[in-house]
Amino acid sequence: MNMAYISLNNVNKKFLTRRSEIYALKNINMSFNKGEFISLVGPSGCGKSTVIRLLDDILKPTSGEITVDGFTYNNNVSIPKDVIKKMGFIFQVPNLYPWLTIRENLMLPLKIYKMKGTEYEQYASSLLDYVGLADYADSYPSEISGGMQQRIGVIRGMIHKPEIFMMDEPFGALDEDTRENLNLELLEIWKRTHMTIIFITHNIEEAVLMSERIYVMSSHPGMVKSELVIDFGGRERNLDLISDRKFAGYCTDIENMIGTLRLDEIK
Amino acid sequence: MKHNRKIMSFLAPVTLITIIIIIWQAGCTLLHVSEHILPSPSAIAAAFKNDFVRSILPDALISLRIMLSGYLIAIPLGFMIAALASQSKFITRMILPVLIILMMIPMATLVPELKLFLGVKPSLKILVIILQTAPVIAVNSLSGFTHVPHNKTDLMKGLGCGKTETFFRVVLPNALPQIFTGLKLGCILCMIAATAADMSVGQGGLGYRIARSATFSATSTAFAAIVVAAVIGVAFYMLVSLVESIVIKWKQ
Repeated sequence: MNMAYISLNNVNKKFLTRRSEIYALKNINMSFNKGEFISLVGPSGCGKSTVIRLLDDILKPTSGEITVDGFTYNNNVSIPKDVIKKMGFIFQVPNLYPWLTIRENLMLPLKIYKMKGTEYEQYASSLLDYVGLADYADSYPSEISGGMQQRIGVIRGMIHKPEIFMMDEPFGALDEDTRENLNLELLEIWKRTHMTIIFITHNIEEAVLMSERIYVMSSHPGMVKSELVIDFGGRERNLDLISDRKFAGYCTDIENMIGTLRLDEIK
Repeated sequence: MKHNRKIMSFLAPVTLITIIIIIWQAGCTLLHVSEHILPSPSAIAAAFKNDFVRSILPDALISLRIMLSGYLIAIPLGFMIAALASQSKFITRMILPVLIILMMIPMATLVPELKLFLGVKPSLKILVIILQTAPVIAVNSLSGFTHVPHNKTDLMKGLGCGKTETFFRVVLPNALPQIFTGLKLGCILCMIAATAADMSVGQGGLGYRIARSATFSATSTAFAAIVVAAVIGVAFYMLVSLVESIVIKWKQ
């Protein structure tokens, strides 16, 4: 059997609130192949963020198992640093530490994973150049704008050259133009590095444009509703695709799916 | 521009203090207020000149030594209590109310009680200061240790860091502003507790000098000692603020 690079097997996640128990995720089975670009879409509350938080060991599953590159973890087993090192995580918000300078924030994963040397220093500098913030390396986060902070948050997620890149609506707070540019840059990075990218978004066009496969999720409880393979017959992924007839088709399919999900909720 | 602002922030309070002193002096002179009831600034200055080296300075040194000893013991003690109490929500809930009650009690009022157990010693005053300042340092540090935004610790978890590494990389630096709030409140309470303890314990100190001068109607000497106490308090506070601005560089 061909083992998937990353898989979630019968994963459940319950949250305890003051009043009740909430099923955030119910019987989740997903798999991600190496080098794949996958998006998770769905209405808010469908637990798409919870999925990647479980993958990155920020949260523990209530039951079920997760396997990443042959290492299996669950409620009792945590991921050791040498496995978690393969993953990079980008939050919805910049999440920089105000007591560290921009460069120190960027280098934090390297410090934690004890990755030293001029090679990494140069990589950090080149990333800072790439996002146009080299001049701010010694500033504190409070001294730069929110958009600049988010760019640092993104490159911090890739500073240790992870093989798996998880993004939780990373560009949601940015304006449309910046968002589009960053999406295209992300596609470039993906083509160049062959990272496995798990992308969370509520923007369907964005998901269709970039992903090879999309999981559509439903809420209350969070479940996988459908799995779609996005295939443009080998055409290169760029903005030209938007005019492709298939593109509109995929978008409408997903919109309808999410639309009926919402209707189900109302009923 | 920046230089001007610095001069302004110095000049503004100095102007107000000067005006108060002028009105005070003029009022005392014009209304012929008795020096024993309310001494004029010039009378206080004269008393200062006469008594500073002879009585105020030795008492100030006694106060300073006691305050510093108490404060320097209270800091690690407060941290230890906070670190211990932050280990679990249950312990936090158990200890916090006790700390707040301790913080509210004017400890100098317990001197007669403490005397029964310890007798009259300089260490009695140090104990009063510790009892007064350690809780406020502990309460503020504890609140800093327990209020860490989720996102900040999530990043640590996502990078595979354990509890200890997370404490030193995130919890502690995140708590520093609140820790310093505690340290600054502590140094204010420290001065108040020291003066109050002097008054009820005796054996020298600025509080003792103030009480004794007042008893003998040497009101101007009492005021001179009060001014010295205020200056020491302000200097102490400014020193802690200076350390704060060096440690917390990211907050201008």
